[in-house]
Amino acid sequence: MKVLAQPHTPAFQTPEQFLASYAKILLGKEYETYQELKSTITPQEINLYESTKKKLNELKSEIFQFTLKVTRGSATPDDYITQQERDTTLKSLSLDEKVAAFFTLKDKIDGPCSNGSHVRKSYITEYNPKDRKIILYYGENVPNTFKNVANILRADGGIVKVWNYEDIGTDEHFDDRIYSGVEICNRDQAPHTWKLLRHAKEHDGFTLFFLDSTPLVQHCREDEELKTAQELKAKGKKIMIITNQYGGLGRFL
Amino acid sequence: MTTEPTPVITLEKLCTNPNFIANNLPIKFGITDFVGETEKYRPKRGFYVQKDQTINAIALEDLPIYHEFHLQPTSANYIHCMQIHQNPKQPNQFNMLIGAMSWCCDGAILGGTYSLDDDSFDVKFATRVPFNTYAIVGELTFPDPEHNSILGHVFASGSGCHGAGIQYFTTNPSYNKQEFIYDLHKLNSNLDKNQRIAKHKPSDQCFLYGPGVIVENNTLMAGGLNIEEAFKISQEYYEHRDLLETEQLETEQKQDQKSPHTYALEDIEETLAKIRLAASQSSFITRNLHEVYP
Repeated sequence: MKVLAQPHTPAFQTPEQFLASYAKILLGKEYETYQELKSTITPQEINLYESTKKKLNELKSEIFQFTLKVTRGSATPDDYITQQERDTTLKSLSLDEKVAAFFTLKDKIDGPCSNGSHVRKSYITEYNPKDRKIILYYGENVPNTFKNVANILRADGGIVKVWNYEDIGTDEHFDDRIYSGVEICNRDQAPHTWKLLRHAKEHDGFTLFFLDSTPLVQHCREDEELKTAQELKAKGKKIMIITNQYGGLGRFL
Repeated sequence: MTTEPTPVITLEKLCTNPNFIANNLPIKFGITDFVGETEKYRPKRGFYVQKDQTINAIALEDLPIYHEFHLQPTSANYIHCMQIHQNPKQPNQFNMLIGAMSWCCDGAILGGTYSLDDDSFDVKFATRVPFNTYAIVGELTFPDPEHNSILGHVFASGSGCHGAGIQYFTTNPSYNKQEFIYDLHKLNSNLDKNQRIAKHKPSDQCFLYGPGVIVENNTLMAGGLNIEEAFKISQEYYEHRDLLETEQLETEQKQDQKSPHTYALEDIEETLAKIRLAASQSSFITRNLHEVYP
């Protein structure tokens, strides 16, 4: 039962390409340094660095125990001899600065990139920002997870302009409109989300909301804004709500 | 016709590089969640094959697996893992074992041959498994113009709300057989035997967050479970071996003859040897659960 393969065009960049692009936006020149270090450091150097670091941590812990003994007056002459040996060993150990710099940068990249990757996963199956003219409005008290939505979209090829949320609806020369904030309802905190909903109703472009999950399942549940968003979705409009539910990320709509 | 037994090879590490060479051209396999040129952003799960600069893809939805093999469409929502085995005699042929999942309760395993000659995928079997398939390993016979038959042995492991553990699937021209060789939810019947399979108490999460099929101490493992031991124990290999040894001892003492029974020990060993050989020549791809694939 043979099936012929069909020509395939990758729909968007690979996760690896996205991560590289995102890290470059976040770190700028530091990312180039990271790449350079990554390509020059050998596995042996990394192994040596990790084993030295482990040894240093062990020694520090032992020294701390020795200090406690001294403070309590329970240190024996043997303990002092062992401590001298420790001091000698400690002086002989040093961490490779190049590898240390690599790990510092790696730590700087890993956290945000992991978050960026999760945010991306929540929209990319239905929304590809590549070459889209996007206007992004940040609301007040944006959840940490969604603070970098602009750069995440940029890393995916979006042409993003960030505007104050009070300016929502004043310019029509954009393909898609995105809101990143706490909630869709409650006009005191999100007084302009109606304008985005109207955009979703009247235009073909995408309208995305990146929101905190609690209001969606609590006080916004019965509000008109959310009901309107659900109605628009049911009518086939390109509207999505992404939340940080259960500490992770997911699609609410 | 008697055939030579498959040599037992030593496994050190499985290959995870999906790049091959066929007719001096670089070939790359991968998972994709979007198949189709005109509706390229519409999710349609499958795998792609890149031949030099040309990329072709096979969508699971386009395979005759629903009518011919009665597979529920949801069982194969996503491809999670693949084993790709290039035919050593015909480099243009690749046997593929695919582990799919619904991302809910169940999954599916599929097998077939991709041919670079006409860029086609010939699906040989597809069957539902009662879990999301997180690891797959096995062997399929390569197409043979003289013998239009396929033999295959597959181990699949995973977890889901319908079950968890390892299943063994075998197919040949006359029948298919599918069974749990390690059922996580029906354990503890024989702790000694289980210790051969799992050093630590396994859980559903072992499969979900495991790296797929790996080699540990020259043994195929998935989710911390020893696949080969699970197979041997489920086929009562050790009981049969003990019986055979006792019989051989008795018959040799009585008549100076060999025992007439073999208790299928050779079949079990041969199946494992074939799978190990295929695994050593294959490349394994496992989806990163946090990613979608273009």
